[in-house]
Amino acid sequence: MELGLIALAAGLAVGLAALATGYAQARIGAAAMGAVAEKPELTGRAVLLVAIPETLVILGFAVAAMIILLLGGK
Amino acid sequence: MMVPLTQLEVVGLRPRLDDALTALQELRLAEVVTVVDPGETPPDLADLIARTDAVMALVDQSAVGAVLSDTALRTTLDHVEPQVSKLLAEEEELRGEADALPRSIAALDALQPLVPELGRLDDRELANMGLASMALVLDDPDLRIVPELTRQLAELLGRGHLMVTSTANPGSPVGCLLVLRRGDLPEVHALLGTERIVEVGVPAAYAGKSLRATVEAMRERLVALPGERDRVQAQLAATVTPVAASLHATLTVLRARAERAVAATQADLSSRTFTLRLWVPSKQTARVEQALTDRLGPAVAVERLDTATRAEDQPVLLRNRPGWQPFQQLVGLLSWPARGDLDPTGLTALVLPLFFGVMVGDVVYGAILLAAGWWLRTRRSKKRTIGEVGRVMALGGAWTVLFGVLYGEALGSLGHSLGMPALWFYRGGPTALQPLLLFSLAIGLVHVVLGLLLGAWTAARGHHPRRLASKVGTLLVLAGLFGLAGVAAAGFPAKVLTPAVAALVIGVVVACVSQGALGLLLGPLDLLGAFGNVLSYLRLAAVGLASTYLAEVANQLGARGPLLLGLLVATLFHALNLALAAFSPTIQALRLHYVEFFGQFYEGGGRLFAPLGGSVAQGPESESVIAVPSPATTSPEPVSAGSAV
Repeated sequence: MELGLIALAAGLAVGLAALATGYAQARIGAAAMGAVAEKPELTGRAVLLVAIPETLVILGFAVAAMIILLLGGK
Repeated sequence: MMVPLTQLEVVGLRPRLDDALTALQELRLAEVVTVVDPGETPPDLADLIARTDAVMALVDQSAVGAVLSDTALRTTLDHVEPQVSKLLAEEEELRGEADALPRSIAALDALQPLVPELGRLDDRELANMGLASMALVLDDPDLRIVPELTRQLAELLGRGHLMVTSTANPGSPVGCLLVLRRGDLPEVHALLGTERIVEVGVPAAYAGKSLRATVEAMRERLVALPGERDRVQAQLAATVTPVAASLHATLTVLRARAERAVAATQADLSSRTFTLRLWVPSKQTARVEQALTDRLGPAVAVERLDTATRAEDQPVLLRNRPGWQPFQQLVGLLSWPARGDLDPTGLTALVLPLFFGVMVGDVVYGAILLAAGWWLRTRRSKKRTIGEVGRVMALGGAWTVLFGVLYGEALGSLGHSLGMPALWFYRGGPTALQPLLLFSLAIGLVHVVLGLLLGAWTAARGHHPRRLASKVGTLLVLAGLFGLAGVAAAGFPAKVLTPAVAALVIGVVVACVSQGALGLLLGPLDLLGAFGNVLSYLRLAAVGLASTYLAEVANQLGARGPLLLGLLVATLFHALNLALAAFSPTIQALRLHYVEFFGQFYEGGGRLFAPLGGSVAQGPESESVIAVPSPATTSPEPVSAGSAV
């Protein structure tokens, strides 16, 4: 039971962060593609801007890893 | 690395300006300094270039013929253009017909079973009975037009008509067959015109035929259309090819003239002399001077200007190894380095494929990527981009094989289960998470610290004390945190604690002070940003684990069910994983460079060196403005935009 809760918590940590990242990337991506269509030389900056929210899910992954390592190992 | 540039001032007799520009164009080593807004190409010349370009776009011509004079060129174009326009219009018409016919055939074909007897009657037989027929094809996905048309026809004609409708598939065009009294035809045509409904076009050659005969004739026409288009294409080629070689040569000359005309607007003209300023690679100044002197004789004077007189918009000329060209383009995808920046191409070329290997880390995937990259790189292709993608892929594949050996992975867990040893640790194991996270963080720490050191060096070189203090403060804080973490978790001796705390405190103070009046707010934010940058490298572990577990899923699914089905499923999943592995880690590695690494030292916003003659030599059909530099990096060959000398 406890192991299941730990797994659920780790999954939520990554999953919710991924949802937030996806939401941010959807908004940024749409605007970035519009900008690239107007100015193709902005492609690099568009990739950069779209990639920035991924830090959220990476932090979610870090939290999930900590949950598993600190609680799952007991 | 960036090639130093020198500014030259050229003074000569005004009538010889075009000669000077021609010499520079041939040399392709000098960029004219922009002092006023560049003028436009003379309208006559621009018109000739546009007309010639339009004709040349129709043929793939690489042979060079005789150069035509402007008058001869106009005569040639006046002769060729009407024929070309006519053939292009004919081709466009055939293309439209080929698009429309299948829809009309489907719509009318669906009508035939509904009125088989009527379908066999032609116009003459109908006329004998005082009747006429009309075939319509309606785009009516919402089925709103057909009921409205039925209502209006009923109002207009009462019961004196028959209308049958059918559609091949839901949402596709609706075919309508309308049979009515011959005398009602004008009123119905007027109604259709008001409602903007177009009667289906039946080629005149088989007008008046029955519905069935019309559909059959349309089918025959559809089969004949590709041949018709080939005939038009052949006529087009026969019209343009005889003059293509001459037009090709003339177009190059016209572009060179246009470039000189625009460059001449940057010259400072007096009644007798011109003055031009040029950016030239420092090591090539003597060669430029020599070329000008050879061309103009004593009527030219060249002077080197000192750095103080340099304009702020100095272009940048990058010199990197040929193998690093794709990475140079990746740097340019973000922004070209500005004057005073470091060129990060070399570091990117070394580290980006390594990151790729850390994430994918699989012997078989790596071997496939290596082989595919090698094949792309070595195959004979006119597209340079493909070769460069192949080079990046091959390098990433090589690192992937290496880390696959370290992780003991071949097709994910398959190698491990077959006894392949992991030289370091197996990522699919229960104890792999911790070392993988620590490894990712260690890579992040090294990469970010390297970026900070480069940032400190750049700041010191550019005499930016605040920026230097900020970088040093951040470095001290990271060193302090590393020491504290070492003491707490890695068994560092206790005596490390005091210097670590001291570094942390001093670093925070220095970072805050470096931000000026808002230091207490911005300083900690800056430090948190640097800490977040290091944490961001955890994506190396996250993406790698995702790849490993997807491969594990492929192997597990493959082991279930019959052997052949299992093999098929496993192959499909591994192919999917490989496709993801080729895409996602590249984006992640690129992001780590753009955001976490470049952010520490790279300003960007530079402009590539664009020598006179470079764009003419490349032509507008060139794939990229960045030319591959000469393999011999010290060779005094002409340079193209932004590439090495």
